[in-house]
Amino acid sequence: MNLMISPLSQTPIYAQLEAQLRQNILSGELSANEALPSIRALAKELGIGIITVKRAYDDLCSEGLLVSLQGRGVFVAPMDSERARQIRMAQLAEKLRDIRQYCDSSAITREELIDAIQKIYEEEFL
Amino acid sequence: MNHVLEIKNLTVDLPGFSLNHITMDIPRGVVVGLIGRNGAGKTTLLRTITDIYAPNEGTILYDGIPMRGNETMVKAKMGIVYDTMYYPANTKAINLAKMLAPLYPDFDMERWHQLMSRFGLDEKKRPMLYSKGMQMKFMLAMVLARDPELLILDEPTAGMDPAARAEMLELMQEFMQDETKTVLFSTHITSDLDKIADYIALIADGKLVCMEEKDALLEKYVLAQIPHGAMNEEICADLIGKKENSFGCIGLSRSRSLLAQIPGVQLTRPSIEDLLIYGGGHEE
Repeated sequence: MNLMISPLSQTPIYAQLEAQLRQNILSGELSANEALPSIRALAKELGIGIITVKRAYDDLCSEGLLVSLQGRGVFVAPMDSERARQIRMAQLAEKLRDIRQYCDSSAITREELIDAIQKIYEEEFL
Repeated sequence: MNHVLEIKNLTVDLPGFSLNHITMDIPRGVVVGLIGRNGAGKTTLLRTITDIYAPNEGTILYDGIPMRGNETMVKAKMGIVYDTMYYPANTKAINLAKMLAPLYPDFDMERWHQLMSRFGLDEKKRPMLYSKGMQMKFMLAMVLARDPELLILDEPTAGMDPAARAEMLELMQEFMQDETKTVLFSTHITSDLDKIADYIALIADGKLVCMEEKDALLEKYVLAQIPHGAMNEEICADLIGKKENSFGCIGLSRSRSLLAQIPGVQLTRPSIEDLLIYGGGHEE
């Protein structure tokens, strides 16, 4: 696992950590049942707050990506490929919403957007 | 007991300055950053907590125990490092440690030697010959040799270069590996807090503005740049620490959803520095 936090980013630190942990889990970099560092150890390693790490762990626990076992630590939840795909699709939808917002504010129509995506796949954009 | 310090309605009157009715609880196991402009009352608050100034009103409880009548017990729990050398600095470090150790029942000489070597400090040198960063580390070694529960640091990173500051922060985080420990430190180098602080206490003009969990605090506010044309009374009244610039005016706001609807308004996530600049009150 490789994590890096930028305190100057517009993205809150806990959200950066969540996104990177999520990516590590979905990519298989972190495997099922693998133990994560303790909250305090990770806070020290990354040079960030204890509560910040706790929040990232808590959020990923409620997403079902991590499980916290009382007194034993935090582990990567076992995940089937169906669930991993659901999460990836949810992330894609999030990115597409940004793109749609951009299109709406730039007077780009739905058809033009779909056409642009098509062209990217055909590698002859612009 | 979940609070290592409980400060209730604390008032301290000093010649030309007073700290007014400060109430805050400091949870155990976290890093609390105390921020405020010069003269806002940070040092006065820390000096009152550490029994240098006597409060005129209000109480401070340490693990539920008042200072009065329990000085020895309470002070043994605390380790305090100020921003300037307060040991006789022309005495060799090792002699200072030997001289002061008997005054503290919890002083562990073995631990002190370990800390000194970890910090790369020459025990045979006089602390006056140490650099600023080394002097801070020396004072920290003197305090950590007693294994305190509550570490209080007054501007521990002031005057240090960025590498020495990073090392100081790392030492604080190392201390925090034990979940019964708490750090309270004052600073105006707010980038230190953007990283490691769990709670932020902001003091302005002798009063506590807020004491809150850092991430929650930063989410509560937006830094808003309002263009000239869009300003109205409602927005103006809402803006904290408003400053004019050539584009319009800028300030902190708690009304993200209101401002997001107004064309031309730019919103960004504030840093702790912004909280201090816009919410930090007046210069003394």
